[in-house]
Amino acid sequence: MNLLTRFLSWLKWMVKGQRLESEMETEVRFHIESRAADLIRKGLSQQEAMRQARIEFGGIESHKDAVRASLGVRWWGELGSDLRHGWRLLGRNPGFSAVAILTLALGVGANTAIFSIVNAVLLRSLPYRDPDRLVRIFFNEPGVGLRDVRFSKPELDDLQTRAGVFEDVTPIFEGSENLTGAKQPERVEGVNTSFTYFSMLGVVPQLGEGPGTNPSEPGSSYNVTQEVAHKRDTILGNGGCRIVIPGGLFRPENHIEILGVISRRCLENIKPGGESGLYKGRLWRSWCQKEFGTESGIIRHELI
Amino acid sequence: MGKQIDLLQGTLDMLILKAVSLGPLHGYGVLLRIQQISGEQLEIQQGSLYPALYRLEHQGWIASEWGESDNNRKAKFYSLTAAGRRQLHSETEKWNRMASLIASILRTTSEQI
Repeated sequence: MNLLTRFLSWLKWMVKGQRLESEMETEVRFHIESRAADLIRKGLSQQEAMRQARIEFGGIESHKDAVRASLGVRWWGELGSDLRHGWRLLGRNPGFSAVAILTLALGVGANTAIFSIVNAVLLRSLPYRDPDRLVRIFFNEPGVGLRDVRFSKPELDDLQTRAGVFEDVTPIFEGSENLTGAKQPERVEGVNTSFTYFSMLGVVPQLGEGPGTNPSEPGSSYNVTQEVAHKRDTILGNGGCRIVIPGGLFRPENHIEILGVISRRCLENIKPGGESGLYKGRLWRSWCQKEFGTESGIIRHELI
Repeated sequence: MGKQIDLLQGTLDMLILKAVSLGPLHGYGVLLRIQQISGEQLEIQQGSLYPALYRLEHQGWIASEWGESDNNRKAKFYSLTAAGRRQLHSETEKWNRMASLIASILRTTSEQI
């Protein structure tokens, strides 16, 4: 109760500060004039009585300041004065002001950009199982001066079965498919990948079972009851993503079946971003999970 | 009339609460009431009166309302709230205990130790 009263009083001063200050001045003047009237009754002249009353009371402004300090609202007034003072100074030197504002804007912008990168790269871990064991594979061919080269299906198979470094390797590339069979056909922008993609990342769909891990058993589409449909629409409305299976990675002509729905948080990091695609059967990068160690040097050595 | 003495530090709030508990008063009236009750022996620094009044109002222990003074001037009158009454009661008890304690200490003689 006491806290609420104090908060309301503080709020009143923040909102109606000027009116309250003017009232305070009226009150103080009444005080001085009442004191002067008493002194006049004691025999002093009006002028002398007013002078003495003012001396006894002290400076009105310092008095108002003491009241503000006792209420803890002085900083608010000081902040306003400082801002007004600063504004006047800026108006007096427009050239200097422009340079100062531009410098500040650049500084703030640069810091924001750096923090965004640090936050995305260093501070926020990927929302997957054992995120520190996830790496992206890039192929470089230093002999011909090429970096980040796309690799082929046989190369991917080598990585999965013969490299001996990775627990699992899955390809990933962006694409789009036609989703039909519903009321209205829909073009679905998405990510094409292998069956083990979700199990490797440890992503559990919010709806459905997902694609499974075995190409011969691609999972089953979930039963779309009214309740499930509502839940699916809610997740999709919040930016969720459908897990679809096109009957195999390299057979996009097959029909698409919805196997589940995952959350937006997983979606944010699940797409590779940037330029990607399937060109003449060559994939260009892949998620994988390391089996041994964490040093990227070891991996590089093993692959070479 | 004896020589006026300065108010003990920390007692002004309690005296203001007591003064307004006897009836609504404007700021100058509070000053006069305290001096009157003390037999003109207490001298209150006018500079500390209004900060104390506003602080007590901020705490919710007194409430203010604009009205007319005896000489038909616009004046702000302060009155005690229910919370202020409880606070005055608690402060009075604390003061009485402290005063009797200090008095008993000061009365102590070497034979009593």
